[in-house]
Amino acid sequence: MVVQDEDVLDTWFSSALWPFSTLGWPEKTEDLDRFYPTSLLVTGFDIIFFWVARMIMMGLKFMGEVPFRKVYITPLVRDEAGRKMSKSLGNAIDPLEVVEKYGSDALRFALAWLTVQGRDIHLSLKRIEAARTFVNKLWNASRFVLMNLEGYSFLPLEAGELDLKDRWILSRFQKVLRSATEQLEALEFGDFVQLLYDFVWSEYCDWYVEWSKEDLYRGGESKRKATQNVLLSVLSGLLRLLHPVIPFVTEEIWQYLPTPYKAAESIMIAPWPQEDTRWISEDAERDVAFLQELIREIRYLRAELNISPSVEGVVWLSCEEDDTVRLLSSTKRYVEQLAKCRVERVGKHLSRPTQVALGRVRGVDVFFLVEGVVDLEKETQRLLKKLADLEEDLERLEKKLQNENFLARAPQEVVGQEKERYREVREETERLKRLLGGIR
Amino acid sequence: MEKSVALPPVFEAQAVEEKWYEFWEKNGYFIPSPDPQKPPFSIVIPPPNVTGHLHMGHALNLTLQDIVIRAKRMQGYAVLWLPGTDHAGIATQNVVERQLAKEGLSRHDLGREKFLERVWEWKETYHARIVQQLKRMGASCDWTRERFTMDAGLSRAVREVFVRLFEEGLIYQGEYIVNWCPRCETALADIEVEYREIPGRLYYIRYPFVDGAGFLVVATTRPETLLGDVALAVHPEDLRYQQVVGRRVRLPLLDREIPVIADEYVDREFGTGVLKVTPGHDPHDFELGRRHNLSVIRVIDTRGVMTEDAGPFAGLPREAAREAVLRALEEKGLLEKVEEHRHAVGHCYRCGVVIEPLVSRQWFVRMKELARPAIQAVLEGRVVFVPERWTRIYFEWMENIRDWCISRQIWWGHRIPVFYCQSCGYVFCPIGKPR
Repeated sequence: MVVQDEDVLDTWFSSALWPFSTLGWPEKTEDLDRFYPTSLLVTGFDIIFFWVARMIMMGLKFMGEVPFRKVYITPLVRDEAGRKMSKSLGNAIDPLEVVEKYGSDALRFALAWLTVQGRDIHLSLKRIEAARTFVNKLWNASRFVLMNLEGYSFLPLEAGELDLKDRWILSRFQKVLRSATEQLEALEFGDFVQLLYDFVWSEYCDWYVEWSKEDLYRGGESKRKATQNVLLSVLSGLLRLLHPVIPFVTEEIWQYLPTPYKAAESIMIAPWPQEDTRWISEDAERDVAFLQELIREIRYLRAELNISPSVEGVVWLSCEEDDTVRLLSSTKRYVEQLAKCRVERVGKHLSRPTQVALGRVRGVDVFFLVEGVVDLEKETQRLLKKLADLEEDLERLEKKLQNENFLARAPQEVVGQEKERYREVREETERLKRLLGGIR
Repeated sequence: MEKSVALPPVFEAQAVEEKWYEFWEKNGYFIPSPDPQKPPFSIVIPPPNVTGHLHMGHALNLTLQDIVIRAKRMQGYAVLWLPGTDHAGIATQNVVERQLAKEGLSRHDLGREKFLERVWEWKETYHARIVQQLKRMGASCDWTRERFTMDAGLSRAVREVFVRLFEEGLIYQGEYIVNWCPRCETALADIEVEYREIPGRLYYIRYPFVDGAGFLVVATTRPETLLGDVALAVHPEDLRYQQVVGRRVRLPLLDREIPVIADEYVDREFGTGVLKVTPGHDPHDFELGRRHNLSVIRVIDTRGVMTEDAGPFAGLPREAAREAVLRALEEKGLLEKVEEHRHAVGHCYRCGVVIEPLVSRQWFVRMKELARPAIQAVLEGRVVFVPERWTRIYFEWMENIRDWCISRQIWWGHRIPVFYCQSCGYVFCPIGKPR
């Protein structure tokens, strides 16, 4: 009489064979031939020994080769306060509930966003909501592009009437494409997502889409067509870069893209965007960075003086260089659009009108004409009071940072914070002083 | 699917997710391109438990894999993401046992065959659920290649590996101390033991010298195991105890004489610095006992009940035995003092019962020989860990590797393919079922 052993094998025994048993071993299969060793394993640190190590041992023993080339160890998912998620603590977020409420894309985006190598993830609903907001932002931007395709026909970018903003966004997209591809290759998920987040939110939506409105609404046919093609080209590229993270929304939008920007019947099988260094333009990036600073400065002046958004301000730009005059004369509409003002004069060494809020960016004096725009007396009084407060603050911080006792005793971190604060207050003070310097 | 209408004003995730997943799957996009010009890129999924429920750890793991997989597919690789599930031996068996308990049944009432039928039914139901959950996350796995750790092909692979290791002498049967759950009545892997910090007591017990007056005091959290003590041990450099090494003491309650030995494993700071050595019920003592060639005495059985070797305490459950032992010690004036003491105690991760380290006959894989090339492979960068710091931890583990206890005393899993001839005692391990 023959009897079999009563016991069964440890579950990890079959798991140890997983990379080759699943591909058909011990048969010699095409899949084994083609896909073993596998390229990557993604798993948690708690089973490096129970699973990862045993797969390596068994793979070497029975296949004569490692089972995978790379092992990515995922971080732990903790709650907002950094506690382990557990049923007993009641702080576990159920992924399926999140998917139900916010969508799979939002959850995926949030998780990848928080995956910064080696650091535990502190997941919160707030972060998932922020991810969903991003998904909506992308949706709305796409919707804007698709709703402004009046008279659209395909035009190769190089044949279009491209101006500074077009050359700028195309160059920026090339840079982002390169970094994003590298980050993905290095499995830097959090950086990859952050990069695309910033690009979509700021450069594409806040800047490029805003600037493009003028061309779309009021531009001539050829300018409008060029802008439509640039908008679509960058959007199509962005959707493809984002697809691995947020597959559903990108597919949905993709289906609405006109040909040839919808480069495949599904975004899933569309090709990854190709680098094209022809579109890299350091000049365009430098010039736009300058315009952005200028716009921020004008927005600052408006905000400090409580100038109502309904008021179109009047601005003069006084330059030191001929080149700057040329640049600003040809691009002043970018400033006008996004700083809600009319650039009345651009010139070299303009003499300053009597009542202006004064700003300064890289050697350019910004004269924001304030006479009759606000109650100057009232606003000046208010700002003088604010300046006095700032100066008081500054003095206090200065004393503190000269105090040997404080420097010696306070934690490094606190000293660092105070120094940073001092720098900020000093800058703000100077900026406000300058602003007021133009009002007499 | 060309569209002419404008994008709806609001993105409705729930309305489109299922539609697109079906569209992708139906069109075969998840299946690797057969084009031989395309370089291959593959990932095998860490198989979730077949009866498991998706948690945030899974969601993260799936998201990161899917990001890489989708990007590589777009970048022109022939991409395979191979999905599957794990039979998860003890976890699944316990779920089904709990279900049976609601019907007032135990697995023994059903018998092995009927019980396994129940587990397979259960597996079918829950398999669909976990797969559905993976799909909800958007995971672009090739479902035409889905596997299960107990499907026919994988069972055959398991058998092949077992037989080959057996034939090479890399699998052997031996006595070993394992984590044992007296409720589930099976050995547990270290990972299946959950350590919980709980309030306990430290009991100071006197062991009188055999020759002449005096005694040594031992502090222990588990007085009932003293019945299985085979020695006391002190640190060789502990000045307090240099004179006692080599002397003999009388084991309280059982009157057995045991030696005092010296071993560097002893922690001088813990308790009195004297350790009771119980190879039958403590993994460290088991190792220590091996070093000193000490015998193993089992005083607790597989159900947590005291054995014949526990003398007058035989037949008592371990908890009752503790009380009885303490009472007897007190009566004999051998219990010096009791202190409150918080310590980590291992519990069965499934049923929550306190683990009992037990010596039993188990099957093992010899690991040293298998580990050597695996260490080499990582040293040579043939496998790379990201983040890099995990490499060090891998080496630490691999260099201190112990033999792997692969047998479990449960029913759900790959049955060990070893056969015994009851008349002649012949043990054999064939690749196919013996006729």
